Amino acid sequence: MRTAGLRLVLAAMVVAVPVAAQRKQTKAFAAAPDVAIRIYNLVGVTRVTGWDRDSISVVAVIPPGGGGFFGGGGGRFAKMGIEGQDPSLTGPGSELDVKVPGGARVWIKSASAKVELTNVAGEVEVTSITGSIELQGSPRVSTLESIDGGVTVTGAVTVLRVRTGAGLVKVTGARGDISVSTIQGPVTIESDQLVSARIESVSGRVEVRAGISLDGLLEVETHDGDVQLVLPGTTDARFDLSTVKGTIGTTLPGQPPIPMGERSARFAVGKKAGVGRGAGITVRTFSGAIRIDSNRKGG
Amino acid sequence: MICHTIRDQFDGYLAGTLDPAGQAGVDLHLAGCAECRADFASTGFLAARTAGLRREIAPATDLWTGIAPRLGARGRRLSIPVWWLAAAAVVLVSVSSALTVALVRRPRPDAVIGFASTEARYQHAALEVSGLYQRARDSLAPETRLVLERNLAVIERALGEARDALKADPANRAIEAMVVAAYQRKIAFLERAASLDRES
Repeated sequence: MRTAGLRLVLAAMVVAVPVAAQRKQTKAFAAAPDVAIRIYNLVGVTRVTGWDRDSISVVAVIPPGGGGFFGGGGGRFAKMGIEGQDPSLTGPGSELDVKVPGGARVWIKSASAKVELTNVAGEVEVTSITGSIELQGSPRVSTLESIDGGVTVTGAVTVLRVRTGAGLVKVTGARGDISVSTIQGPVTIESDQLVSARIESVSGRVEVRAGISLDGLLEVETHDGDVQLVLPGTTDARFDLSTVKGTIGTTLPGQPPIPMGERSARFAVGKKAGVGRGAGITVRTFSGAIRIDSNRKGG
Repeated sequence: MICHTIRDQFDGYLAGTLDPAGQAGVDLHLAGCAECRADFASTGFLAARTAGLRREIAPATDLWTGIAPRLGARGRRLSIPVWWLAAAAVVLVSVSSALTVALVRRPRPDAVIGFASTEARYQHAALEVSGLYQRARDSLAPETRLVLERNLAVIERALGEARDALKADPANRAIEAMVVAAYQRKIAFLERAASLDRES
């Protein structure tokens, strides 16, 4: 009984040591509603949240060997982050929790750090190597790049640019102008109404489940990644599908199936597309299969 | 400002009408400006593609000489049946469309040569940025190098497959466009990879 108690105390001490060694720093300062902020945190987690105040508040939690916090600015410009950080640090890394004015323009640099952005309505630019990026909200302009990390976007973004290598890209609810490019990463886009979207991948699978506005554009290009579009039954669009070595298959209302072995198909579905209007949908692959289906739900 | 001036000279550069100093000026600028290099690549691609097209394609047989006398004969009888005119129009459209398709699809050696020169420029640009990446490579973390080179291998494989397909079907414009897209992707990726060194 005594031994067990001693063990518990020892175990608690072992667990408590790294926690106690972490340093927590806070900083807050006034800023313009559209302040431009640069944030550096290579390893760990960076969380940025837009709030309804004209100020910036930062809480940094830094593990031993995780570098030191720096930060300053105010008015229209601010800069902060963790310096002296080893990009190949294998521990938990530093945590940065930053609250910014909702209309802020935020620039973040990461290596393996995870980046989470919520409720920022201004402009967002994130570059990362292997860290994942999660964006929630509807910034005016978002540019998200990770060489190997995944990118998840949820919200009615207006202008979105995403570039990854092998990371998975998932965009839900975007309505404006979208451009996604991956090398191996699969891409999934879900939206009620896309206005303009260009998606390209070398070998990633591309899946789009979306309505396309009447004058909208959707372009998908892959090398050997398969492409699947699932569109509402009410879609009014001109289709231009072609592949060099892949296959083409469609199940759309009022459209006869594409004969087996056809490498290209051009056709219109809907009343307006039939007279030269409607959305424009183009899919090109080298050897990826092209599949266009109707979701049968109508709108 | 300099970019604007250089871009104005692309057509002359591609047509070979610039003097040696002008050619060298464009070369020098392209070596150091990624944006102009990308613009130049697309200008070169368009120029190569449009240079290969004929200004007009005449049908091999003049159908009108056969149709006109018979129309005249009908005309002397005061009326030409509508179905006859419709049939003639259908025949004319079908024959000229078939001839156009046949002529356009025929592999044209000058178009192939045009693309070869476009591809050579892309290869040159890819080699240059590859050199930039090789110089930056040693200062990158081993994990980062691994990630970059794994992705690069996927791009190279796709480029190789598209080039092989183009060799088998040299007149296929769609495959040409895919080869160009693969080169552009490779160049953009290498530029991005090389810049990681400067950013860190």
